Amino acid sequence: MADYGILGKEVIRKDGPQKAEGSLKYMGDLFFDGMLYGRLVLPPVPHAYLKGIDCQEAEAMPGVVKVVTAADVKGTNLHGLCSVDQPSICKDHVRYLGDFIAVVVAETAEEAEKAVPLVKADYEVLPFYLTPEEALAPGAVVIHEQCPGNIRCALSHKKGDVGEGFEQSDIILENTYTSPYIEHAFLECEAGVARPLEDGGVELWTPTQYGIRARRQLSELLGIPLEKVHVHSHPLGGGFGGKDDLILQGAICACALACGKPVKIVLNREESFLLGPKRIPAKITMKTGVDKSGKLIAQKVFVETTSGAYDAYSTAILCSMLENVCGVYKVPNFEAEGRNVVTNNAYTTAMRGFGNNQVNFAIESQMNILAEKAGISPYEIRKINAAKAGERTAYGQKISPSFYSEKALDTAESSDLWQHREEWKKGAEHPWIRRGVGMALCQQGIGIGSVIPVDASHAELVLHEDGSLTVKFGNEDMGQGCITTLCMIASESLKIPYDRIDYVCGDTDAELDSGPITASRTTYITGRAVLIAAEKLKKAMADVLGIRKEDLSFEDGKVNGYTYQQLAVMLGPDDCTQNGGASFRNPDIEIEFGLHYMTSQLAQVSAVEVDTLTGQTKVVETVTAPASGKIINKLGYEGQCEGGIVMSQGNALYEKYRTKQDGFPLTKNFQTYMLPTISEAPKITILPVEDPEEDGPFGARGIGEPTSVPGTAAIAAAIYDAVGIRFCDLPCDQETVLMAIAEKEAEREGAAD
Amino acid sequence: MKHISFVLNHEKVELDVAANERLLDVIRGRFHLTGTKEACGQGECGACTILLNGEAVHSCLMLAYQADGADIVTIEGLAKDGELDAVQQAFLEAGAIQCGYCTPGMIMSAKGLLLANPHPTADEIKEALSGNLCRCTGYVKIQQAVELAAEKGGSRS
Amino acid sequence: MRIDDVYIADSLEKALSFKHDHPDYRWICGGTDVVPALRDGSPVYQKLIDINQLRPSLDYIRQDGGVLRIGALTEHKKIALNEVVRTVFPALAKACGSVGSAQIRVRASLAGNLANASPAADSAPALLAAEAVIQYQTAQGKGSIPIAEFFLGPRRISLPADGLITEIAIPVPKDGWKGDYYKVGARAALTIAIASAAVLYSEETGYRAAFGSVGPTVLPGPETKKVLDEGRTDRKSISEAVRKDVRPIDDVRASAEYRRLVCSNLVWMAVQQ
Repeated sequence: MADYGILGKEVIRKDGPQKAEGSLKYMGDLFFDGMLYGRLVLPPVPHAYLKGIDCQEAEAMPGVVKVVTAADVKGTNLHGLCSVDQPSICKDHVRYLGDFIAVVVAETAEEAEKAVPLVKADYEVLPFYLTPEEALAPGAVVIHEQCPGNIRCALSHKKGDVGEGFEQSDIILENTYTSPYIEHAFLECEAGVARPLEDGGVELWTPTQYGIRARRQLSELLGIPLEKVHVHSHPLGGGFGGKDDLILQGAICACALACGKPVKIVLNREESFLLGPKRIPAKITMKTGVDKSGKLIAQKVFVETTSGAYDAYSTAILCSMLENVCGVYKVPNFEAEGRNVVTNNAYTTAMRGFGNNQVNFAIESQMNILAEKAGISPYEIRKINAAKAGERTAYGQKISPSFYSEKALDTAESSDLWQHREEWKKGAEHPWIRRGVGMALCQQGIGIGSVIPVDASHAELVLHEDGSLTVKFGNEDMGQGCITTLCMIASESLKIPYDRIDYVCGDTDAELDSGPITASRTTYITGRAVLIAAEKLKKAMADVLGIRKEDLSFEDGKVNGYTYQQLAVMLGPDDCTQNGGASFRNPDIEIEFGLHYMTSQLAQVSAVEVDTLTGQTKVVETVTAPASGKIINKLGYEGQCEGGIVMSQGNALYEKYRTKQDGFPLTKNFQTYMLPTISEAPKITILPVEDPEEDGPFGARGIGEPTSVPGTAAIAAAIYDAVGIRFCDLPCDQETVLMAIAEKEAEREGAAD
Repeated sequence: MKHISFVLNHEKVELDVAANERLLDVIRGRFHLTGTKEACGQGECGACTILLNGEAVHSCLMLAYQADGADIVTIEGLAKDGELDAVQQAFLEAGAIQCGYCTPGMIMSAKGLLLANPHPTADEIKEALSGNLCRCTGYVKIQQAVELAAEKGGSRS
Repeated sequence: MRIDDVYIADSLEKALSFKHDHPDYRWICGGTDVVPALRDGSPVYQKLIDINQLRPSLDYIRQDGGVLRIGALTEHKKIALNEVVRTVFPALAKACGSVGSAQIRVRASLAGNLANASPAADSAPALLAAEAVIQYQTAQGKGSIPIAEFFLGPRRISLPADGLITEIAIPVPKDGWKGDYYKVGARAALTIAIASAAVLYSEETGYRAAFGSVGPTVLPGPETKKVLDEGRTDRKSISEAVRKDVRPIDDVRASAEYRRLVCSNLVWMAVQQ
């Protein structure tokens, strides 16, 4: 039985005190001598050819140093994650309203702002398309040359024979589920400062979720050798996937290089809404067949997504959606098809869940409806169909041994909330308040999956002569707490006290590629890299002590009687620094669009009150049962659960990014786009399923995303339980709910007449 | 231009401000106290919250000249002699901080509440903090942090 | 944002005389409406008369016989917490406590909220139902205008061009105004009203009703009052009456039909309690 010292404990997060003091500098907080300020020149329409720009009048304005355009971006001026299709500064083809065509750089932001309207641009306005229907209509103008018919990509997969499967099914259910554009709404808007270097290079401070990749992209788009580009990518004031890709960084660097001075650009909230990529809207048509006992026989799914103006991660997200269309369930006959459409609307990228949120809403809603039709409970239908460790998924890949969807389900089912739900439902304060309880289950791929050949991470440990330790890795902390977790892992492994450990992160000069902070991967993969480095350090210590590694003994802060200070001297500087690397295992089958070997699983129960007078839904309590391995950073783990739950609540009930007919956002800031406040936060009970991940660091896996996934289906199921109405379109906002209630009452009265 | 003087983090300051400078701009741009954040510019998120004569207000909605003669405290002014304020400490212990961007505003709103009401109910905490958005934490630990601070006597100014 | 000039008034007299001589200057107190408007590029507020220094004399809550008098520059927070208001006019306390956020309620004055004349103004329905009177002053002298005549449309009020609201005078029945303010926003807090209703009752006056966010201004509820006074409190009668009183439109926040439904339901709920 392992003896855990710091694991699972509540610790003060490493970057906590600076955040509590307000002394931590985020990128928009940085000031440099001689720093200039950039303001964006945005296009007036969502689709146009840019024929020419005249900057003379603007450049003559007081304080203006230069108007920087695409001509000042000396490399490819292109970046992109799935396709390299996005310019840093728009050159000739405006594809959406955030395609800024120039940056006015001046001594103050105010002076830059005054000059923006004086930049004259000549546009050939083109027809624009805000929805897939519009973009796919015959005769529509092609937005990207490489996407004929405005189809970014089409994917499909077949297994078994769905036709026969449906014939064998006793109950068939077909529904179309829609999810809207969702805004990441991180509190820190996109920002950055760059300064030109004497060697012709550039140094950039910017919040981004993969500084090493940003450096590579910047090197290409700016035309500067890699070693002359330096990126500081930590800290971030929230990311959730929306800061994974480049957005302003190329432009900021180009401005600094063109002006020969440091340049800062900070977006305001309206610009962030206008420019920023969003969660992919999806329309999912799902036809599901079960036998009369509720066992799944056939599943046919069509997923349509909007990539918006640029690919970003949208193609990979469609892949992830198709991977998850069957949830955690075994299905013998299955056909999935997906299409990603280019439009002139906001472009789409990763957002916590990576497409799983949208398909999970669909499959889990189907399961809840099918349970009712089959006369069994939502728990039973999941129990019958959930895959187990060692079995094969709907796609046919072998499931890892650390797969606990059934245990997560059982844990949620055994919660007080689920067990006593009928009694709880009777206790509403007023007769017009209806209570309901719903359940949903998910799995979430951990790591990027086999859509890339290798998903790896590297870390380094440096033991100092004073006995303290520095943990170094490339990963940034956007709030999720990886710094703390990784320091706890190092502390536990080497038995060096947590407060004697510091860190270096988010700096390309450390030359440590730990991969992106996405895909709930960091605890597992960088944690393993840290452990591997720690084992190497132990081996070096054992060698220098002339004993076997297994004979090292850690007691009272000493190793075999030696202090770490002594050992540091004995090891010498070279051996005091140890590197570790680890990579994810890939599934045992290969398909076109990638799969995950490793997943976390999570079951959620949501209890709601629907006010039948206003249509408003209040989430009273939520129970979550995550199976994501052993808990290392307890406060961090809980924080991810609570944050993900409330985020999915917003997705379920309030949030929808909308545009006007001219393409401009209707929901353009926090006054018009509704985020949950503290008054919306429910009581949350966390029931962790801590069965360990087979090769995770101290048994840990990943928790960041799955907590945000099943909420929409659980809440929709709870609303159905409360008022007897099914909602297949998100959000289940108050107007939609009230109108549906009114319609149902009118029908009932009509029938009674 | 207006010449104003006020107390900023317990020290008297004087400066000339333009009519259109917001208090937030002066705090961040002129005094380089960047703990106070701008995240919406329209009083909808609370990241810019500071104490004005002991009450939490949005500094993005105050014109700088309106601070003349006032007592302003920003997040940087809470710690005393290098020791964190009870509210700051409670946020750390309760795990109420993730990305940290909403944190200064959230702490100042909590501080304003506890100065006026040292033993708030759960609903009073929600009411006081409803003007502060957080996208990371789901608010649960923030609520717990304020309760913890109240327990430990976070009202001492 | 562009501000061309600010005159800081240190007395009511100076404020009124400056305003008389400079009609293009607009009042600013808490600034919680003016500053966002300036940020949006509003051309109207570029010259300001700051009246914060008038707060001491225009910040009060007094009961004066059968009239509750609230100084124009009293902040919403004060009104929401005031014992007298909570006792004799709880609907107004609730309404003031629902404006914006706690931070806004510290700065925003009651008169500022009324003068901004948003159809969604939270205090307006309760004040209209109570038949409050807006007291104002100009350089020439004093005047008053019943609140029913005060709002002309969104952002338009019927105040003399050089007038400054000085007080809101609210007639209060002997046993106070029973009843409440009901607000439906897009979420539980920090929200503009999508539909709102103040339903008041006293033995002397019978029922009073007024609605917010369902017309170009706050609207009185005479038909609603009638059915409630007649005791016809079934859902159908209330719905018919409310639908005659409200005139909502479709906008970014909600549809007209949703607003009609909600207002009817709020009135029905009010009489259940």
